[in-house]
Amino acid sequence: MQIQSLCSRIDQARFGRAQRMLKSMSLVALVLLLGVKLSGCGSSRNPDREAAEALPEDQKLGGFKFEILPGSQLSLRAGKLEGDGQIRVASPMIKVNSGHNFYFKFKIEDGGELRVQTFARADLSGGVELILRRPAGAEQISVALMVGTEERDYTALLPRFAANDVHELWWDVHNNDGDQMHTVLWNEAQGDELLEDLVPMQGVGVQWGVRLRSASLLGLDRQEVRDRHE
Amino acid sequence: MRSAARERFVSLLPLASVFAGALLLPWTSQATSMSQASSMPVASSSDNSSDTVARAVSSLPIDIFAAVDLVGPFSMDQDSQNRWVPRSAEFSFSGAIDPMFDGALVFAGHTESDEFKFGLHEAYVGSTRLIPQSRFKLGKFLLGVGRLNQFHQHDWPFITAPKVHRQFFNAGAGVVQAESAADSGVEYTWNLPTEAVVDLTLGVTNGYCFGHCHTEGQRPIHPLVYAHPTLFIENETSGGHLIGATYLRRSDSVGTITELVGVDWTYKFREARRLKWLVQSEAYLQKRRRSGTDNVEQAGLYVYPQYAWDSSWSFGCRLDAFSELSLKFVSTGERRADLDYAIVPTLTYRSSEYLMFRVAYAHEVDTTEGVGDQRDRQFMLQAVYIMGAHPAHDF
Repeated sequence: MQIQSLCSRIDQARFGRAQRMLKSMSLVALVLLLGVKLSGCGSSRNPDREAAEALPEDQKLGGFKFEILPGSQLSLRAGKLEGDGQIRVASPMIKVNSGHNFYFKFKIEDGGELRVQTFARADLSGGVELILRRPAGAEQISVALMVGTEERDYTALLPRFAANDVHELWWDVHNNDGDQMHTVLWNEAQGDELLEDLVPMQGVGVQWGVRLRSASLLGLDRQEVRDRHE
Repeated sequence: MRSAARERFVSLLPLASVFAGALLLPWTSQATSMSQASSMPVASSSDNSSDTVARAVSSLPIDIFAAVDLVGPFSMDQDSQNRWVPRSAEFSFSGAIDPMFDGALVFAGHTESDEFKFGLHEAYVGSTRLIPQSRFKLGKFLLGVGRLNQFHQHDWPFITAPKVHRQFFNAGAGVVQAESAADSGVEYTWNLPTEAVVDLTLGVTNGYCFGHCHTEGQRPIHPLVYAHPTLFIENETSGGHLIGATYLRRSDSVGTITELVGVDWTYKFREARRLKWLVQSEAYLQKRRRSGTDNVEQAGLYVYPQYAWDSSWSFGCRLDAFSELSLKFVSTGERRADLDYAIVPTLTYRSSEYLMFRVAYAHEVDTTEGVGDQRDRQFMLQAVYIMGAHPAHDF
């Protein structure tokens, strides 16, 4: 009965009425959009930025302030962070379902390790980690991806990273690629794109940081993704 | 009364059996359905009726066409992707397999990251004649949910998908490349025995890959299921309203559950050969949850009114909105306002039903509380041509 009543009313609508209805709806939609725009998103208030600004001004690498997590023995001198410990960058990603490119410049001592942790919780767990390792006595750096409890070794697939050198890597992490996480690794000094992989999970948070063990971090940056899937 | 009740019961049996079968079958069901198909009785070569079937089959119509979609995005804010690309090239075969069953086979290639990748887009067998007041398809197909998702890119009334479609049906794909979600499984549509034109579509698919996938994906914990009831209200003149609702539920291999609900409304008004008015809109709410993490809640909509002066020229303006409702500041846990919106005026010229040119301007703004607005302004050109017989869409 309700459907018949609705059909009857629609059937009776004349063209002019339909046209006015459509014009009104478009106007309402436009007003709604403008209203939402004016109502909230123009605010410059940002508690996350305020928290970062409260950190010491000299505790910064690559323009990003960071927090040194408890139990760390790290020193920062002349733009070089070295030692054993973990930092959490005080500029979290805005959305979990997003993609970013992470740049880092590093050197690893004999037996040392450096981990870049992305899309993680506050304690830097639950995300995706890129692990760079220099086993004792080894002549090259090994590269692996830690996803949950699974470690995927990419060393054999990559050009040789000499153990004693300073290296730079650009790492795309797409935490918004459907149900999988898409990662791409670049090294412009060694032929640009090095590796592309998909991992069967997504990071669970918006925090990112670095864990060092007998290693030094000389540069750090975060930008938009390089691989835009266009 | 009894005969009406019996009729209703009989018409419900196919629906119940399809759903029961889909739930009971191991849901890597393609292998099972293939073995079932191969065990179906086949007429022997000595059977005289096989000659009749062969003659009938050879005269059945098949639509064959090729469609090419060329797009040229020219961004004023991110010029790295400014170039003409053949966004897609599609070869399609569809029509009757035999007097009872229909089939479709669609190959499509897409440009992505400077590579043109070709693959199977759709391949399914179905029937509109086997089960009364019903149609079904089995295979790989565009999911029968929403409005835009049921069409290939070259059939869309605008050049690129609105953000709500990109995020919920093709997450990870770029603005230009985002297309409709397809999967492999079974879909059944029942035309309800009511005076109003009401359809109920139900589907169960593998769920390995949803949206933009670089690989075949991983086995999810549960298959993907969806429902899409629709109501069609016809105008006195040619046209009408098609109103639908969508529910979709899927999981991934690590236990993330995603639920999507939405409504869609399409209005068409025709005068002779001219689609004088088209209004197309969809709105969705998605919730994603995984143990040990905060739930993610997002919502979006678009409205696209379009007016045509004649059979060649039309103009429309799409309004998009998208928001992550669960966004919070990390340091305080307070809710963080978020709204992405876009205005996309679009001008279309149709030389014929086989050739179309389009120009649009997309003004997209990403606003999040506490950070500056991010703008992406693009001019876009599109040319679509079809060679062959393109089957008409239902509405």
